[in-house]
Amino acid sequence: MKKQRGKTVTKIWVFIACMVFGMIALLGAVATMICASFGYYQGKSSEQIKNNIYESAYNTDAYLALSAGEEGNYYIDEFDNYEFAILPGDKWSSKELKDSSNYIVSNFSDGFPESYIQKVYAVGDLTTYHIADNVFGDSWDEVGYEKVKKQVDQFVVDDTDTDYHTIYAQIDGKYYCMDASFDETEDGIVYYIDGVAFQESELGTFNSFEIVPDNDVFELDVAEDKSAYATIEISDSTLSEYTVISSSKENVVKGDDYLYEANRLYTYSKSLSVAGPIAFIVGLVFAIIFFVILMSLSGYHKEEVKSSYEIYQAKKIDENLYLQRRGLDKIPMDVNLVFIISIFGVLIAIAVDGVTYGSNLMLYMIIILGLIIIGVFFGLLYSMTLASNFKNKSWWKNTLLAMGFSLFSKWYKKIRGISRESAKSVKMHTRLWIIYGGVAFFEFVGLSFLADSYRFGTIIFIWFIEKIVFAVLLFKLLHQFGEIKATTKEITEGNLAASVNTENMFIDLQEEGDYINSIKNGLDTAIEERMKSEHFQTELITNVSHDIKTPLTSIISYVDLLEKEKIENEKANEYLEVLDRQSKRLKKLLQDLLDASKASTGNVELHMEKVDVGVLLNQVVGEFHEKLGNAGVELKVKTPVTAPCILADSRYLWRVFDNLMNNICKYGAINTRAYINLEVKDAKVILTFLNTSKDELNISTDELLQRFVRGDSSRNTEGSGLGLSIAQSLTELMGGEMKLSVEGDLFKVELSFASC
Amino acid sequence: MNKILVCDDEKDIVNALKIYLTGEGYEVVEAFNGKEALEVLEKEEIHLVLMDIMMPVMDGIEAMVELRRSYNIPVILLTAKSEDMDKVLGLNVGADDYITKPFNPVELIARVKSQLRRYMMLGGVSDGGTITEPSRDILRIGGIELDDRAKKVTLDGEEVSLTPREYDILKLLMEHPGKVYSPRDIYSEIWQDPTFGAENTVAVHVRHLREKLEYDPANPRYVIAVWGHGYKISEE
Repeated sequence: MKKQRGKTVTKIWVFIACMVFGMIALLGAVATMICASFGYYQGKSSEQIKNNIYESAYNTDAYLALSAGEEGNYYIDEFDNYEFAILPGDKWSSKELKDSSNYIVSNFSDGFPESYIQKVYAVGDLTTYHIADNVFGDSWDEVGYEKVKKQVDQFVVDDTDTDYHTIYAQIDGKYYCMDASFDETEDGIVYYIDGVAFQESELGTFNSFEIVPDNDVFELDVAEDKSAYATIEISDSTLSEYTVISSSKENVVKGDDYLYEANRLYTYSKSLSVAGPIAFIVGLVFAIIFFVILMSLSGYHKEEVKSSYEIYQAKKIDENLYLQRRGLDKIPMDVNLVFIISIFGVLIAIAVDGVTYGSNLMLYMIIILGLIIIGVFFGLLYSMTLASNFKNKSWWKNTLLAMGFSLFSKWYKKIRGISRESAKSVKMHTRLWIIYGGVAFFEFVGLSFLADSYRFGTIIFIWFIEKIVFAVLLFKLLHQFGEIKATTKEITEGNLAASVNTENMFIDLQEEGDYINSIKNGLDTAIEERMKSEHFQTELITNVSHDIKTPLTSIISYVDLLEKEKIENEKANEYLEVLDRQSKRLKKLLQDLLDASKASTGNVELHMEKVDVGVLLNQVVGEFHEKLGNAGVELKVKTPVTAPCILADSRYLWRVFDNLMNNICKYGAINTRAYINLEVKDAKVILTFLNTSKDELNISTDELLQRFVRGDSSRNTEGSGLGLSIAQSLTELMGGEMKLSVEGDLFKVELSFASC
Repeated sequence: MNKILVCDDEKDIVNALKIYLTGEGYEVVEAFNGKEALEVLEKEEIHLVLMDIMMPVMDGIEAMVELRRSYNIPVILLTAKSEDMDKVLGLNVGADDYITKPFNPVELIARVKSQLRRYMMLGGVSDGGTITEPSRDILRIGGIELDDRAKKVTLDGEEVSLTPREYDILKLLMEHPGKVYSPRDIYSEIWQDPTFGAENTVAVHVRHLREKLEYDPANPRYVIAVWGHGYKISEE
């Protein structure tokens, strides 16, 4: 079983087996049903069953004889299996029956038979002969059938359908549908039954109708099937009635009557009544078994077929066994369902049609068989796709309904997304829609005054279309305007990568968008130019300082060599010292210039990491311990108990501290105190450097931050005047902030970083 | 007598270098571009090369690549560029050290000595230089040698006088080269006292240590401050 999974050949064999056993079960069921209609399985004796079967032969043979008699020659001489006699009229006593002078024709061989069947038939023109029964044939308009007069208790008119009223005759509590038409006239509704007109009020009185039911006429339930018709005969129709006496002979021989056939049918039916149920049960069991096997096989395939669609990708079960939807399985399940229902509908319609109009029993049986084969074939195919889809968990996904639903939900989500977006950027959004809705409401109220107009439907339709068109327009306008506004805002906030997508925009908005895009492009170019020129400047400074370094190297080296030459001249030694000092200062200046240029243009590679400010301050204090002592400045450090940490590049942070501390050493007044305060405020780490300047600070803080500006205008002390500028640039590069303030001689630097 | 090749397109600088190096007792061979340097190397046995990067005809980087194909002698690059990238490039093509211009003559000599000593120790040449057997009590990082038995520290062979505290800190750092000790770690380790707030003392001591062990304390080579974390000792 497992081995067979996925093999197409196996599937085909199981499919065929399932069909064959299904057919056997069906045929068995049909045979059983036919036998049941003969009276089998109901505890009836074989004699009764035989009579049941024979009775239809009697009727048929009577029909044969009477229809032949209409043309002058009764057929009864050919009836080898009957004692047969025909009498005119319908009222004969049993005594009169035995009088052969009353017979129109007879073939009695031994006189009047002991046991016989007496039946009345009517012959003539019945105007209406819609007989819904299971007798195959439609040529009943010449010979009447067994005629039983029944009193019609009441006529019932079903007028639930205004276009088609149906009239039922109620007889013994059962309803028989009549073929009738009706007309609305000035006097009310007139019904036509068999071409005779009746007022609605008259209908109840027509008790004289004769109805010709036989055992084949359907008994109707008003509430149910209204499509079948009973034969309604109007009493004044021209029917001539005959009484037929028939008696079958003991030994049935092959002859020109139907009794022979009936006898044969009876003989067959005896074995059929046994074989039918067996065939049905055995067929059904095997059909179910094969059906289950078929269902478990469907969906599996031996080889993998690659599909570009994810939903059709094969799922690997094990080595060369794949679960995948293929071929018919790909058809949406609801399409499949509609298809299978239509197929069954068509098949049933053909079968029913055959019942009504078919004349050839054999042909009809073949047709029915063909229909059943087709039905089972498609039914099995459908079941297979159903099973495959269930296994692939796609019975819902693989329906037009689900696809439509997902398409709709995607579309809806898109609309909702766009709407939210424009609502975010366009403040008027909600207000405009409220106004739109209000206007629509008042228009509708106004329009409802026109409700009397016979064009009201059209007016409402056109109004509705107009509303939809305007809603779409408003939606698009808001969306496009929102997009332009949002992009403009982004550009304003400095995101120059933003641009308006002007495709599919309304003409004016498109132009507006294009203008904004070109403004953005202009800005972009300007900024790029500036970046370029700054880069160029940095490069220039770098190159120039490198070029200066080479001669400076020689100067420093030779000054050093000169110092090593023991020169007796005191003045020369003094000059040498100046040369030494100044060349070293030049070296420092050059380095600072390079650093400042790099820091101010952001041309610095940062390695951001967590830095413990407390530890750093300890190190700073240690580094500057002696230098501060020499400058006569006492340093006081105040830190919280738990030192915070910040995110920074420790080398550059040290550089900032170094510059600030050097400033304190250089410009701090002798015998004063300098302070470093560390505090955490609002998730920010704030470092304050405070010192008292030895010179009067008569320049603004802005000027202090400019390059080459120093606290003392004389420029006598060492330093390049770049320290604060470098410190500020580096601080800002690391995401911090540096603020300067001067109060009298009090110089204050405040560094703040985000704590981490 | 070690032979040093000095290569720079600036004659004055070559001359100055020659004066310094001959003063230290080295023999100096001159070259004025990379190509000349390579030619000299073919002819003479050179123990160390001092070479500028920016030179005409063949620059220092190119000469470096050529040189490394056949020689394993130490090379110190001289460069005007102090950019990190240039240092990395120079070291990547096989330079052993670099000195940025304008250089400090003392530092220059120290580095030359250091490179030569290492070259000799590794057995690059058969003659000259005494190879000291490394013993368990001697810690060595670059030019720094700490003899724990004699409680003696030498820098490029010259004795450095350290206070006991400085000596302890140096020993601690040298026992675990590359490991970063926070001031608090050092304090509790050396002073055997967990008193808080004494970390500043450590920083002062480390600064002294650096001043004694570095030719340019602003650009330390061995005793390195990892700002915001602590101190370590490493050979760059």
